[in-house]
Amino acid sequence: MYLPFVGLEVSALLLVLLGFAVGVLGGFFGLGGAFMVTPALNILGFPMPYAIGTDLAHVTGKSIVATSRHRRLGNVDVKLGLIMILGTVPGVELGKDAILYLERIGTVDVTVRWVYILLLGFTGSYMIYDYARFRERRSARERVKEHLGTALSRKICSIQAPPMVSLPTSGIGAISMWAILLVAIATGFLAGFLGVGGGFVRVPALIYALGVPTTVAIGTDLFEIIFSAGSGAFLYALEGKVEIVGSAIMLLGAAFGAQLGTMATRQVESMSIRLYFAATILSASVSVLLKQISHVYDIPVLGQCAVCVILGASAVMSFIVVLELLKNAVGCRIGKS
Amino acid sequence: MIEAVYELLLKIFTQNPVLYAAAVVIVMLVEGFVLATFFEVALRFLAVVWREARR
Repeated sequence: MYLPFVGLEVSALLLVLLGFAVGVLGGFFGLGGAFMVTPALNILGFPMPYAIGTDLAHVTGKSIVATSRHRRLGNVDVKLGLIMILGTVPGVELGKDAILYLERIGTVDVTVRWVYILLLGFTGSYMIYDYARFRERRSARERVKEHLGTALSRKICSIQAPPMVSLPTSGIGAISMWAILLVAIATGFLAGFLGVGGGFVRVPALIYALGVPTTVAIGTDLFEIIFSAGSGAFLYALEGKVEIVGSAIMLLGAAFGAQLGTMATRQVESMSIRLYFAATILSASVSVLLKQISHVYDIPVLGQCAVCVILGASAVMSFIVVLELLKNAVGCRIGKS
Repeated sequence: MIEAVYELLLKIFTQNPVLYAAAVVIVMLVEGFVLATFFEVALRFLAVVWREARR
């Protein structure tokens, strides 16, 4: 199929399949999926700015589909999402300023890559450690206690700086609005600094810093992504860097995948979702590490391996999510712990 | 026919970047809402069919 704005001949089926895979991950993890779509579109021949712009456009539509489904499942905290947007916008601006500063002093690429590797590596490892600790605690009482939030989230919720807001959907009785804004600015900063949509850092931050339940963190993050991806798509389209026909085709697959991914969050235990999320961000971290090594030691094959790692991990993870859903649909509970 | 439509759209959008940006966001929002509604209706329909089949 001919894509007029980017001037390429690309298989429509490939675009639908790519959309489907990233839709499953988006609905299940609350991610935009730029880590997977951007390199994949680039491989299909899209120049990088077109790959980013086209991804942002399809993410806008996909997030509407996923958010709508999560909302019906009671997983979207609109109040929390709106407050988070207020903090995310200046945070992204600060992140962008930091990038421009690093660009001026000539260390932008190395710094961003290392922050990406260390941040995602640490977050993924911590989530796996948290999962292992949870599995060790066999008693139901201890497991319930685990769901009441982390020590960090309990500390943050105890800050008594008015105005205080209550977030019934997230199960938070009262929390200072400043605490939410602080977390939003920090995650927005990292999103702007790393040049990612923010789901990678926002979902763990909502879970561990604010004590939001996993599924609500995913739904609320998707709600926020509608606005962040929408504004990003608008800015890229102003420069003519969005392939609207390609985005519309990808969205067909992504919408179906997002439905499946969202439904899977009902079937899979919260802690298992965290484990899969951790595996995904660890593979993203390894992929960037390989890219960094290939850059430093000038080994192009490692750069290709980096793309294979992230695309392979994403495809495997989408397959696992669909498999979990199917297992539960036929009444088999093997995947649940 | 499709090529002619593409040519026309390309011409219009290249001359009006704001129009193109607005069109991108509107198309994605509308397609997102339409697909979300479609899946909602489809799932309800399937649920009804499933219930009837089990009776």
